[in-house]
This record gives sequence, structure tokens and C-alpha cells, in this order.
Amino acid sequence: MRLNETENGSDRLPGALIWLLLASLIVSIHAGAPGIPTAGAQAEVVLDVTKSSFFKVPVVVEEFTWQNLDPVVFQGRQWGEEVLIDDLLFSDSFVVLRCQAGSPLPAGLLVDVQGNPVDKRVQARIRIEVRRSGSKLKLKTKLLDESTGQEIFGKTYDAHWDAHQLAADRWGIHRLADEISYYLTGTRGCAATRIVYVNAQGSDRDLHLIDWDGLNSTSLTNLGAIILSPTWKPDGRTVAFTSFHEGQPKLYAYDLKKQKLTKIVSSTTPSAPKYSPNGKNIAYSTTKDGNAEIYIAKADGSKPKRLTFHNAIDTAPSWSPSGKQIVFTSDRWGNPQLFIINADGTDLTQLTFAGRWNDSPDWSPVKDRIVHVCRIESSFELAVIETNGDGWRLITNFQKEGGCENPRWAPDGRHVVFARLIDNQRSIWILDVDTCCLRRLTRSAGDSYNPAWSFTAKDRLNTQ
Amino acid sequence: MKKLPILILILVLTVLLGGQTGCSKKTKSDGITTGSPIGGDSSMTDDTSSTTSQTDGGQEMTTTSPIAIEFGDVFYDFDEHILRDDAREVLSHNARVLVSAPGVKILIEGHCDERGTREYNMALGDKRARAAKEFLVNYGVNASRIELISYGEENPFASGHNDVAWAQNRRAHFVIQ
Repeated sequence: MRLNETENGSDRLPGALIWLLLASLIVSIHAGAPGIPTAGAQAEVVLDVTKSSFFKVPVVVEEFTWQNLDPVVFQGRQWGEEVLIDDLLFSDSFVVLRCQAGSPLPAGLLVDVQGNPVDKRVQARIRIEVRRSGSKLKLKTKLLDESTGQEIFGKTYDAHWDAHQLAADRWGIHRLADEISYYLTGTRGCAATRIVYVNAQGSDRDLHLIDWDGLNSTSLTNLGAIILSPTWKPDGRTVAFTSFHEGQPKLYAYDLKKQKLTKIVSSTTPSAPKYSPNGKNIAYSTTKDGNAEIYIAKADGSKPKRLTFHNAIDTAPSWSPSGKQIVFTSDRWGNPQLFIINADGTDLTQLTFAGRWNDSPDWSPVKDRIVHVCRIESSFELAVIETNGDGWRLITNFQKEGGCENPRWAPDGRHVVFARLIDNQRSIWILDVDTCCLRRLTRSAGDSYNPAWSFTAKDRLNTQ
Repeated sequence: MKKLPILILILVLTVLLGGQTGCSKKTKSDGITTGSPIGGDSSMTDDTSSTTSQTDGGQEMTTTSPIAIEFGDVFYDFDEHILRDDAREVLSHNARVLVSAPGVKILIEGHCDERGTREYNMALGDKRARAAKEFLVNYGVNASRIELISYGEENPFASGHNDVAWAQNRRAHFVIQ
């Protein structure tokens, strides 16, 4: 429904195509850039900031206006234009300015919300009126062409309002931020997404869920056992993972909405599950044939069919966006390398040859490129490679602070979430592959690892 | 360091068990040399020759002695499941213990160090446990007495992030069922 609206909307916007072209230009230019970040602080832009901001779209966010509600209640509650601005900044596609509702921008050199001068023409203005209506907040959103004042896009979004807690969910703002991203850059943002990961404190392991900006961390399961490799089903409400809570490891699917756990694969040492893009099948690895082989089964685990046949480790499958191909790790020639095979078992080709260790591949949901872990001397770094074998490049250069694990694409095909061992602790990090901007997502106690980025969610599920 | 005894079990109550095999032990042991086979080339099977193991070290056991059951951990090189010479020595010892105590069932846990990703290490831990099992079966231990589990890198013995810890964590560990 919303997708249709979006498509119709883009017909009304001739500028969208231009931005699409610009977006692809950004990618091609950055693909050739060294763009290797160094280890360091919470959020860092390794490329020259002004240089990378050249490719960002300047937008102005007006202060929200309020109807039937005193905005004072939201002070300190992380709700309002602050959330929208964070979403736009986190997408790494925008330079954001702010101003009073309805006010024109002052003449002269402008400064963005991060204090940097804005040397490009401001493209668009976002105007939002918040109206309270019972237990809902209506976010009447307008995207305006800054030079002509013409409306590019208009839509009203809902957010849940809790009058007792004086709190509103941020999901409505995330969703409108994602659609604004789509209208201005041609790529849908991923503010309305979450990341699932494993948190280990001592022998205690748990699945955690966190918004992609690091807020709303919640605990999902309490199985009291080793769990690993959580992965999202495209329906956005199911997470599959390996758990040892029955002794031997098995694969389980957890329905977030019903809070129901179902065993889906009882085979020997099943691991590395990945749902197909249409959600109908699941690929995983099992050692039931004497060594790890990849199988594809129906999403409920029925009708397993063997995909790989080799007396070596075959694991870590990841689907192409079409669902017709799978990239996986195999050590069949002595050390782990990446291979691509058709989902029907035909046409096996080796993708990586360089280096002694290439593992943990994840196929971009929007492009023909694959992110993976690469061992450089004693450091585990991240690298990307085109699916035709071209364009291999490192996207991290942490060296002694390496320890990268399990990179997983965001639905925008631009950001990657991964685990990193630093200061004797694993934490979850996000890297913008195009600008190499690096952010730390988790600071919780214990080890956090095995992240998986959700698909673009239509609605937030109540998992509390 | 390499032969850390993880579990020592004194089975005082195995007199009965020992008694069941004790007669045959006594009667057949003379034909067995005291040398312990090294490597996986033994053709003994524990069906017929629980008989063969009791003379470890040349001392004849009596049926009333408690049986000390001690399994050593088996260690591996990085990203390998091939058994090193020291691993074969430990496994030979473990095999002799198993043959001498035919009532004992074991679980072999395959473990990895933290390097490499978790999914790959689940598969590698499985290979390590299987390599250990294959040695024992070739030695003559009945395969039905051996169960396997891979913990990948999820259950490290040593918690450090260095060569010493990693070497201790690349192991097959024996647990009496």
C-alpha cells in the first residue's frame, strides 16, 4: 500500500531521477576511493568531511508545530524534530539545517546542525505538524522544494501516544524519515529498522533487539543457553537462530509478536540460517553428512534439500536479492574462500582467491556486491567484492584493533552492521560503506556479537 | 599444560562392572603385550577385547580395584582438524581408558579459538570432534559409545584473546555421559 503511494509519488517528482543518478555517482566515485577508516572513537568520518558532504543533500528541518498538545511534555524524551534530524544524519545522505516553522533561511553563509558551513544550495524543507488525536499523534508531513516552495510530497503518519507515560513511539518519525530519503536520494532510508544481536554476560546469553540508532534496547529471549547466528525473516516478525538449550544445537524460529519459539531444524549441528528474500525458504549448514554442507529447506524446516557436496566445510550461506543464487564459505581448497552457487545446485564458481581467509559473506539486498570478513595477517577486516569478482577492496583497516565478525547489510545496501573485538570486548558497530563513516552502536556490558539488520519494517511490533 | 586432565572420575562402584569383565581379563590378558598401540591402526574392537586393555603399564588389575578414568584434552593447530602427534598420544591414552571401561559412554566436545567467524567455527568444531572419534573407533572403541557436539568458539576454556588462550581453546574435550 505504502509502496504504491511511494511509486506514485515519485512520478510526481522529476528530481528523484536526478538524485538517483547522483546517488549512483556517489557510489562509483567512492568505490574508487581508498576510504579506509582507522580505529577510534564512537563516530568518525574518515574521509574528508567536506569532501564527502559534497555528495550529501542539504535539507532544512523546521521545528515541529503542535496542535492539542504541549511540546513541553517531550522535553528530554527523545521525541520530536531531534529524532528526525538524527535519522537524516544517520543515513549519511543529508546535510541538515534547522529553522523556525515557516521562517525563510537567513541570507549569507549557513551552518548545519553539526556546525559545518553549508556551501551548497539547500534543496528541500521538511515541515511537520503534530496533532494529538486520542491515543494517537498525527504527523502531518510536507516535503517542500526550498527554492519554489512547491510541495514535493505530503503524507500523514501515525505515532502511538501514551497519555500516562507522556511518551510517544518514534516509529512514525522513522518511517517518514525513510520516505523523505527515498524522495530526495532515490534510496529508502533505514531509520525504521532494528538490529538483533547476541549479548553474552558470563555464561548468560540473550538475544537483544535495538533500534538502528542505538536506542530502545530490549531483551528477547531467556533460554539460558548458548545462542548464535540470529537472522531475520523478511516478514520482520520472526528471528531464526541456533540454540543449545536442549543440549545439542538446533535451529529455532522465534515469533516476536506471539513470543513463540518453534524448533525448525533438528539435524546435526545446524547453523548459519538465512531466509530467502521471499521468506519461503531457509538455507543453513548441517554436519549430518559427516561434514558441514549447506541445505535449503522450506521456511518451517520441512523438505530439506542438500545444496553442496564436498568433503570440506561449506557454511555461511547468503542469498542474492533474486533468491536464485547463494554465496557461501568453503575451505575446500585448504582455507576459507567465498563461492557462489545457484539455489538449484548448479553453476558453482569461486568468487574470492586473494588472501588466506575470506569468510562470513552477506549479499547486498540492492546491489551486486558482497561484504565479507577478510584476514589480513593477524587482523580480521571487512571487505567488499562485486559478484562478478571485480572491485575487491578493504573497507576497514583496524589492523591490531581488527577482530571484525559477521558483517550484515542494512536494507539500504549502503550501511553494514558488524561485531568488533576491541579492548577485550565485542560490541556492535555500523559502517557506511560509501563514506566509511563508523559508529559504535552498543556499549552494554559483556560481549555483543552476531548482529543482523532487519528488513524495512512496515510497523513496529510490540515486543515488550 | 597440554595434558590438562579435565575430568578425573573414580568409579568405586564399578566393582560389579569390573566383575563382569574381570574373568575374561584375567584369562586372556596373558596373550596381550603391554605395549600400547599408538595411532589409529589397531584392529582391536572392544566387543571382544575389553580384554586387551587391562594390562596398561604391565600391572594386572584386580577386579576389586577402583578404576581411575581420566581423559586428556586433544589440541589442534589453527583452522585444522588434523591430529598432531601429541594429539594421537592423548587419544591413544583415552582409547585405552575407554577400552578398559566398556560401560563408559562419552561425549566429545569440539572447540575452536575465537578467530574466524562463529558459523565457520561451528563446522570446524564438529570436524575436530569427528577426527577424535574416528581415532577412537579405529583403535577399537565401539562408535555407539561416543557422542559428539560442536561448541564452535562459544564455550572457550581460556578467556584471553592471545596465542596462549587460543592454543588451549582449540581442543576436543571428553565428558563422561
